[in-house]
Amino acid sequence: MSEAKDQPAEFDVTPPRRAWWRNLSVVWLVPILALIVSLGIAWNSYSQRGTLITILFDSAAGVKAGETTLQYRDVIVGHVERISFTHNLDQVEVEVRVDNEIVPYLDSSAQFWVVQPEVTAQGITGLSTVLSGVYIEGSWDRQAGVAQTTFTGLEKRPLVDENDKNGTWVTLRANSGAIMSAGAPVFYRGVKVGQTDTPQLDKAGTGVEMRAFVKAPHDRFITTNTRFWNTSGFNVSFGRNGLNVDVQSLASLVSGGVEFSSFIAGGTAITSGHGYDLYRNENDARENATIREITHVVKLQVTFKGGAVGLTPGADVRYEGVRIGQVSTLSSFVTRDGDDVTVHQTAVLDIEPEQLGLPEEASSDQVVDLMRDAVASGIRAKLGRGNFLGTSLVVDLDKVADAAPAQVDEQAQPYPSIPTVQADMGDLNASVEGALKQISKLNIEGLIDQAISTMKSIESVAMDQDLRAAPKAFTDLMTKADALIGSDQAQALPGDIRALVDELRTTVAAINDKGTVARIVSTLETADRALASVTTVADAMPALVDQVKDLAAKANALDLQSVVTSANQVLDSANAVIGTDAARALPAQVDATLAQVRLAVEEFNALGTLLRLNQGLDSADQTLANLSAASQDIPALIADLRAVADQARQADIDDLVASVTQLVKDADKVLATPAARELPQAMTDALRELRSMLEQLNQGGAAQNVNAALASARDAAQSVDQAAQGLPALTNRLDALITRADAAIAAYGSRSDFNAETLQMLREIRAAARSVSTLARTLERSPNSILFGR
Amino acid sequence: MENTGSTQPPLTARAAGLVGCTRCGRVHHRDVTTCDRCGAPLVSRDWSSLSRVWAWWVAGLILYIPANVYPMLRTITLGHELDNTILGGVIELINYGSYGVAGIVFLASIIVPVSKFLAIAYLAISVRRPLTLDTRARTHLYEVVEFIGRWSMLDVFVVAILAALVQFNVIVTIKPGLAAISFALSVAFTMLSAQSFDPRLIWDADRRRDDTA
Repeated sequence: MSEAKDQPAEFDVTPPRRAWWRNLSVVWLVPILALIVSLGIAWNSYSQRGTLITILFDSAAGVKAGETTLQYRDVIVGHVERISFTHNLDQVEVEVRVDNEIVPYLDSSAQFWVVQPEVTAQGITGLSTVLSGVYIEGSWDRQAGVAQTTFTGLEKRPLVDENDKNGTWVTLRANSGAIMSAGAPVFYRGVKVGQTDTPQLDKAGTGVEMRAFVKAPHDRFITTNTRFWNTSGFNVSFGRNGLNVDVQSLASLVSGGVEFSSFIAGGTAITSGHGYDLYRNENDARENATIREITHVVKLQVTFKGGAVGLTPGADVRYEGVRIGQVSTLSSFVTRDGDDVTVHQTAVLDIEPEQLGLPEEASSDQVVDLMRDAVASGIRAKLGRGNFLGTSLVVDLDKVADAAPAQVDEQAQPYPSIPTVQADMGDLNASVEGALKQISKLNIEGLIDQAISTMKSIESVAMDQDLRAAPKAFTDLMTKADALIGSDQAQALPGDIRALVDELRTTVAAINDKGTVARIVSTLETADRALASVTTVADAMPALVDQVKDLAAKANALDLQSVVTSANQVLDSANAVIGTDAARALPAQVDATLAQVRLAVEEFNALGTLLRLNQGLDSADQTLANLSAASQDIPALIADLRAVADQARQADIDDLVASVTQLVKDADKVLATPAARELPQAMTDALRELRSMLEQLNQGGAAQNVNAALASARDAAQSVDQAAQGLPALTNRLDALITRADAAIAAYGSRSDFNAETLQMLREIRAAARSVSTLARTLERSPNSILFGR
Repeated sequence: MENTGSTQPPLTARAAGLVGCTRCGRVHHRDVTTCDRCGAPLVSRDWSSLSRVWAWWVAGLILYIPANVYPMLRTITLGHELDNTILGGVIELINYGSYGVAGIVFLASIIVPVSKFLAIAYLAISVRRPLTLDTRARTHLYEVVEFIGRWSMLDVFVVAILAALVQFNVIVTIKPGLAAISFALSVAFTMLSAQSFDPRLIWDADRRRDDTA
């Protein structure tokens, strides 16, 4: 206790235990802040993650997860996140994370495709993907719809953007897709205003349909009266106005094109999807421009006796020369009348009442009423020629003056039948058509035999040594001609030759028919009588007779010799001409020449040469009658006169052959002109330029590729390669074009400006190729320009 | 361990009635509260340092998550954007066959930070609780952690250099990603965490254990 008093008890002071939170340092704010920031970032990236959509592709060449982007109007709006297959490996599933702001627009209108470099006639597209790799491009309309998350991707970029509402879609129809080409430009007065889609068969499979898009504001030129036609880009026509060369743009030269115009005023505006017929060319379109849309036809039928070879469905039906419809279907049947079997052909006619001046919706009865009156006034159906040179037939409803009374058979099944008259077959045969109709029945051997026999008869007429060489030469000629005839183009030739030979034969027959021989016989009889009467007459006459004989013999020998020699020369030169390659391209010319020859023969007939020959014989007869008193060598004289007559006959044939030769030579000269030869070379140059340009492009793209690791470069090179492989087809097409142009030049010759125009066109092509080549070189030198160009 | 710990525990400044300045190293009498030389506050044992250690440690750990989840490098090659996380970059390097570089990056960006987190946590816990590792070893561990801390910045330096050098417009451009910042901060925070730790606590804990023993 005392101790306790001495000093205070030791007070063990323990500081009060501090609350745990007092130990907390301000530093603890740092982790809290870090947590808040981290959570903020996490939330931010989660909320902006976008929506996952799935696109199904058949193949996804070059698409890479995490790299490939989805672009809309060249702006990145999403990234490919995953690539997988559908459960049965049918398709590739590409999952794309799309920005949220565009998700509402991804409705049923959305289309997706993979953009890859492409070289087409219209140009090079997707070149930027050579370096950056492929990307998926999307297109959709500007209206938010019911958003989808699964889409089916397109195989390639649609030719025309479906979602471009700034224009009008039209549907073009044709019987054959041959005149349609996908992605071809649409022109209005030569200005490109749109593009075509891919041709497709219609539902029934009876025609081809192709959609075409015409951009605003040009679509306002399309009305219900508008006509669309195919422009092949390179159109050569030969008519009264000479050679007509029509060259559209280079793109349409390669890929074709479609042009439209309204030939007649009026017409109302159309809505998208309106259907039009696509005409083969502008002329067809113009011809049909007078007819408004055919909505209503009345069916009638006609039956021709003896068949109607050359009448085809689609042939025109003309009423006194005006087209009122067309042949719809054809059928034939056979009737037997005792031993007489007759073929009948029934044609169903689609008559457009409007063309007959009836209301558009006129009933069948109205048309039949009109036809009844027409038949009563002498109108009959008959076959006619479509045009002067064509082989096609049309149905003509023409007034026949001496027609037997007939009427419209309204009870005929299935349609009312219009009475027919037999077409003048002789007239048809005499026509070019008739000649061409026989082509199918013709065999070349018969033709050659006929030609040889003709030559033999000529040989037998002219008993000259030199002339013996002629048939051989002609046989050679015919052998070569035989080879020439082997070509398809020459198919028309035999018919014409046959016709010519027929003409010659009919001429010879006519000589026989018109009694020339009889006259000669009668002349001989007269001479005989004269001889009998002058047997006792003076010897002074022989001198005169000898003189006449000498004169005749001299004339005979001289003329015959020259005729034979010139004939031989002609045949030789014809041989030489046909032997050349140039001549092989000339069937058309020979054709034309033969037509001319035939005209000449007809002239020969028409001008009454035979008549004159007969007159000559008559006068010879008279001369003989006059000389009969004095003559002792009458037979010799007659022989001479016969030779003269033969020569006269021969002379015309010789002229014809000479004119053939001359024409062939002219044609040869035309072919030999430098301009014609220059053409293929120029075309080849242009093609070579084009090919080298593409090669450069190919090499340049590969060599200058910055990132060799990019698989896209390989894809691009392959694409360009494929494009280059497609070139042979293009070359073939251009080759065909050259052939066509060649033939056209040969037809028209160096006189025209055709050569100049063609060369001009080729120079343009070459210039275009050069400028593309320059582009390729520029790209090669600075590939950056692709990237920084814009 | 046994021979050092059991024989003679080392004499600490505190036991000798002294306090050392942590900044300049000068030794003062235990009553002095401010360093004569550098003016730094003198505390013999800073128990509040543990709180700061944990604060920095937690902040570093939080930031280490986005550092691994978000892209470190954004490489834009001809319009392609290629994002690489740390681990993704390592895998890509392995795919390219650069095992050495991949190893260095993996060591600097994954192993070192993770082991640093573990080491600091271990040290901080060991101060309060008796643990097997003896004081010298723990002091060595602390020195290693403090030393190696800065090397974790290797990845950040690589990103910084690449982002500064590779700027070829469209052809190749490299941009630092969000992870670069997170990672740099994470490393900085762990370094601060290691620095906040008062290593002298290790010795006290050892002494307490000795006393109780």
